Amino acid sequence: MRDMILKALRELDIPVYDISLEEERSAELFFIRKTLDMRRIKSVVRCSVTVYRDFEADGKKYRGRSVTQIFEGMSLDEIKARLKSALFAAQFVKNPFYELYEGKKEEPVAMPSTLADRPLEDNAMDMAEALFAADTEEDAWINSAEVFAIEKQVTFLNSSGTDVSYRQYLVKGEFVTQCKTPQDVEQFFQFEYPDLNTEALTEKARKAIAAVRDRAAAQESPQAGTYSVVLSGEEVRSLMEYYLDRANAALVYAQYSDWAAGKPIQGEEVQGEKLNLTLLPKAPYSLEGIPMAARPLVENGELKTLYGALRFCQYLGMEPTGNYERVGLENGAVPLQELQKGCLCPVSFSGFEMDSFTGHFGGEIRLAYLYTDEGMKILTGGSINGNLSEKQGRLLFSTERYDTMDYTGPFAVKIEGVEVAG
Amino acid sequence: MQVKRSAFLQGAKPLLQELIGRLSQRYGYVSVLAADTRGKFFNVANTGVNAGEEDLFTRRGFVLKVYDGRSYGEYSFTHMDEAAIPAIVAAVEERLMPLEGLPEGLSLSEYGQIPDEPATLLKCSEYAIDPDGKGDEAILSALTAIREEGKARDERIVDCAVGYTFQEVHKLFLSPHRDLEQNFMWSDGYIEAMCPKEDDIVCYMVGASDLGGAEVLDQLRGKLDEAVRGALELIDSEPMVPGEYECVCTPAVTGMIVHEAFGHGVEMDMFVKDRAQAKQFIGEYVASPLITMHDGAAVQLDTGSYFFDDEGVLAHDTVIIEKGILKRGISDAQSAMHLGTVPTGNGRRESFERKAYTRMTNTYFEPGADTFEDMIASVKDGFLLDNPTSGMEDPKNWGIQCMVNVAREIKDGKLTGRVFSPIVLTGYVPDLLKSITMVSRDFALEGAGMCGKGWKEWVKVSDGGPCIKARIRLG
Repeated sequence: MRDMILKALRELDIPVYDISLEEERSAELFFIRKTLDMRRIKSVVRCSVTVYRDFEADGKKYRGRSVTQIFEGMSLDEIKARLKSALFAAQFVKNPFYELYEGKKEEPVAMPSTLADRPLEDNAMDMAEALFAADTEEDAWINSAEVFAIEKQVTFLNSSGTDVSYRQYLVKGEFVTQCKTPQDVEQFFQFEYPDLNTEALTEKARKAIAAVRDRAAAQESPQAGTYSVVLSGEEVRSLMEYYLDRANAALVYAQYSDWAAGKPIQGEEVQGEKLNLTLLPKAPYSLEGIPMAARPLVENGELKTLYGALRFCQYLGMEPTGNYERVGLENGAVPLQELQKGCLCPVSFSGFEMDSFTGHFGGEIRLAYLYTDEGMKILTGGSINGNLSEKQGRLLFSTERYDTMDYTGPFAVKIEGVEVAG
Repeated sequence: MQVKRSAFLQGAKPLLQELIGRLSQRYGYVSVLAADTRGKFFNVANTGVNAGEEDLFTRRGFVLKVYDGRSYGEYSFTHMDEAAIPAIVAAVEERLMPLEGLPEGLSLSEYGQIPDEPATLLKCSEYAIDPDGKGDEAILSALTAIREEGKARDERIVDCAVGYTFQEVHKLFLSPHRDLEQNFMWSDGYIEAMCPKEDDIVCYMVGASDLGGAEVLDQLRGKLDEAVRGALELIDSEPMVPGEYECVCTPAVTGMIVHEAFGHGVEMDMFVKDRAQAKQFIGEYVASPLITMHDGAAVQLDTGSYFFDDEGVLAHDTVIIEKGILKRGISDAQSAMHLGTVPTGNGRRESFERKAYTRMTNTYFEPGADTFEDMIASVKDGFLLDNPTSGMEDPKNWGIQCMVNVAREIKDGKLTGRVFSPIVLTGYVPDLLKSITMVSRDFALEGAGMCGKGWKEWVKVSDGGPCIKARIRLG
């Protein structure tokens, strides 16, 4: 396929291009309670080719581009027809000129994983076994689950000499926990691991079952008012979207964000913890073939760098870094138990929203713990609403850690002055 | 004009029939869904200009469904030619169906065989303007003109992003007794006006959609005023004081309530999993007698329309709520088999690469007899809710979590001009639906967005209805 695409590009005399090729195999299991309801396997190839067209207008140089999808089994003529159509479209895409990444042919990278060299079906079954190992109680259980074991071979090459590839394994999925007494409730969880991390999944499921039992016992909604709120787990990662988005070169170039290196992003007077954020790679190369490495994003509350795709980095006159999805947060000064004192601690939402443009965050509470001098109260219902732009100067983080495919850092954050609708 | 048939699918059909024949020698039921789709996007914004084929909407491949007398398995693949058939058969026989190593304590869910009733169908949808015929240059020019006009309206508009997408869908469903082919095209577009508000950016997005082609661009152009006015209003918006209020919902907000708050709760794969409260309410009042709710790919022409679903079940018009009473849910074929009901043509896949789930299509409340003006005049102290931004389902507890961009204050039957934002709608779904006291004659559907199941499985849907007046808890 790769050779035929290169031949088509040559015959059409298209000098500037990139090719992204992804081969994916998976084994998938779908459970209802402890019965396997459906099993699936997958073997697919996805391939996209971006062609570029340079032109000048009003004395300025432009580079248009258009992407097309190429499928397995296409003939040379079919591929050429797709590429021609894309090349035609590219002449109307009037974007300022930029260069493709100039790399070289690199040895294929095999990302180390305990999932490698095992049948995908075995990986999926072992993770399913680990998940249901936690389902041992009579009063709360796993309602349903989906388990995916995936192997990907990703290749990227372009007309500027870049030719890189890597093999990646992961297991991921989702599950719902349920408890029917004293009231029938459920909670939704997701997981994703680069290794056969059965112990972590069993532990996650065990905690999830305990949480849904608490939710079933919760009767009251929080009273409307202003609270100090402790968010934890995935919600802390969601808050990090604000920093990832606002520091993204694409948003800065478009004037959706006014962040620049050196900006004290938490304001001049920070009474809480000063943020220390690191961009972390999830793969050896970006989608544009740029080698990925860990990069400091924020140090002591000051933005160290913008980051982003090739085009926008060049427009802003900075080194292209590639896009990052994983972030590390090196904060955390207060033990969780201390942090929770006097706070409303929602641990489950029906859907938590972080709007990076406005700084607004919020969601409807499915389960929360309210810690007061009188003890702990389990609550459900109501919603929280706050604005991170306004609150970020007084953030405190837990010493306890939380690690996922997209985040490593403190498990919890305390935010003061959050509005709660009962 | 009619959407043309896919030459690729015509070429693959004999091979697929041969594959079905080979596998049918061993398995009681075998079907194949073959898909050849092409989606193209165009957008213009401060970030630049983009045009190309959308990965999610441009796919070509197959999914086999096989029954071994006890259970079902599926194989999704992209490589298909005569030489590939033995390898596909081997993958099914050796990797998919044997089911070795099911851990102790876990068992297999056993099903009967899908009734493979004979059917033949060949359908093509209509469109007015062929996007390919109109051409990339003309489409980008139209979008650029909308964007420039939007930006020129007010210097506070920092960006007016405009986009258009179309997808041409070709699908073939084959089993020993069914031979179904459909070819259709949908289009959608958006305008997102953005203004600074202190250190942040506020956005107001409007959409347009249709089962059709580039004619949607005219619909989109007609919504520019609303997008610009909405964004400018947000600059001076105030935070909402939480409480329960009399509210009038625009058709777009009605659509979000129909879809997110109620529709997900009647997806019957959730009944199978004991994850939906609606199962216990069949035959009972769940809404005001003013409310009748439909879902169906066959009933309205919008982005949720098709002729048969991804399991080869013909499209329906399902009346879910009739005059306030919950009559039935919607289902995919496997869930219907589990529940002993009739499938409603709602088995949908994100693509051939994914499992089929029960999914909505075009979902809406029927219009009523009131006028919008009378509805506003009837509110003493409340809000007109507009511009939905997001929603999350909660079938188990029927809890509402929907967000809208704008609440316009109404005092003594008149809009005061004060605008509040952002707004979270909460509460218990049947409480909201039973509190509906007025339903307008207006009716609008919109399908510019995508619907997920949980946090994945994106499919095109539309939703909407009339304006409704209800008591809603706002935060």
